Amino acid sequence: MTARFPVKHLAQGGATLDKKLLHNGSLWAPHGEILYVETEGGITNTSSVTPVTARSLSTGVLPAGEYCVGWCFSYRHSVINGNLEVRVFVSGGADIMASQDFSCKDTSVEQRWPGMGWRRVTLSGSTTIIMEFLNDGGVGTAYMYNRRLVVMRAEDVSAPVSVVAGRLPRLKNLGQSGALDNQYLQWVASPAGWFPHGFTGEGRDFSRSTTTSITFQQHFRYSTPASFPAGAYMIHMGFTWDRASASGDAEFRVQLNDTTDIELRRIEAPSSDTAMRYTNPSFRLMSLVAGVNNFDLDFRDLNNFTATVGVQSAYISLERVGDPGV
Amino acid sequence: MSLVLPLKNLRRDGAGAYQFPVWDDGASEWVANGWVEYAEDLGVDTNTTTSYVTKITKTTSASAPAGVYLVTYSHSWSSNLAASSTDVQFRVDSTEEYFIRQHTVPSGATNQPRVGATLEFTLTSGAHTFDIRFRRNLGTGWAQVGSSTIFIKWVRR
Repeated sequence: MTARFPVKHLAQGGATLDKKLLHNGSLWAPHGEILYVETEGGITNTSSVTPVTARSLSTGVLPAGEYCVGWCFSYRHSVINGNLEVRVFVSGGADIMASQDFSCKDTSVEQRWPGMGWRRVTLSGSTTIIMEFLNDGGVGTAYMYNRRLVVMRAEDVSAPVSVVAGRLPRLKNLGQSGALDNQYLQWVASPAGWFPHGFTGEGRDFSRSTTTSITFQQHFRYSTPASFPAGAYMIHMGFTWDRASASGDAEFRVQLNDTTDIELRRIEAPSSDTAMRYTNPSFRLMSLVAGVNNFDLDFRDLNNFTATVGVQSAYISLERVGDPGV
Repeated sequence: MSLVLPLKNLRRDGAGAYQFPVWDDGASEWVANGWVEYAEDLGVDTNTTTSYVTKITKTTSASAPAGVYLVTYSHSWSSNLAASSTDVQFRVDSTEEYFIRQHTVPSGATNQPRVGATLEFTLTSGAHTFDIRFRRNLGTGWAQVGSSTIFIKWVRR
């Protein structure tokens, strides 16, 4: 289904021209609806070998197309070397991520180990994406935290109209696809399947920082520009780390404006080898205010002065996916 | 605040398979496209050596425009001995951009944690190659990399 989109409603959001947003006065996401769910800080656990749902995401009636599906979570287990098995799939359909085992070497209740992935899949109609897990082996209890699922439209699968070289897309070809809560601004011809998008920005520091202190140290700060537009943003974040002891924990946080932890991870290193580069990625969708937003990656050694914790290869990437409040 | 964008500023850029609508206000140009490239390999590959082997490669078209690209990749990994580790590199044009080295957890298990990253790259026009490769490091045994994905999206001129 494709409906005409009134051209007069096309507008630019933000204070200066480097703010990339197209909208029609309502809350259309620029490049297609972002469907996102999360359970922050919540705990889902099971001691059973029978799968239980950790998080699910149900869509409206999706237009047929290619969609980018992302999932991330943190986890722990009550038994040393205990495994949890995680699977992401379309309800009644195919696997998006086939079952994979995750385990951690420390059983303390503060442990938070990472899992994350992305895949493109073809979807249409009402769809439910399920992240489920089980306690592999049935010994002890497996726990999942911070479960997040996102679905965003990537491409139209309708047959593209042939492109005439050098000719501009005709304005009448700008259309609205989808219905109700799943509406997309797109080019419906020449060729089909283009989607506008919004601001992107990234802070990156691949250098190495170390600490032995129990007080959080800042590895790097990424600040958005003063002209940054308010909106809903997909925040991609990650880093690698190591610790010079295989006992005791390191802790890491991504903090917004020195007040809000948008990610907090505590982990015991598998090895004391400081050549290790354990990775810790995640994503999260949040509404951000206009202007300067400060994102910090902070880290510390929880056994004060007993081992050096290292952090490197850190990044925070922002991608605007909708108006404020989306 | 919303400003009306003159429709005359809407134009198409790029060539061949890489054509994008852009808004051009005379001072800056906004790219207005979606995902442009994707590759996946859902199999599991094993490497018993300390030499890198390629898990997945995606090369963009020779007509790809210059600009900023947002690239998301993910993969699973595993190794079978605590005494060995798995090195994984994500690279652009054979230059190492993101590197992990991890022992398997727990010792001797074949679990496959899934990880990845989203990074921006400023690229010149023309073809560029993104790949994930891996090797065993330390000790004996083997390293594995499982299902892997790469998204490449042009986001800014």
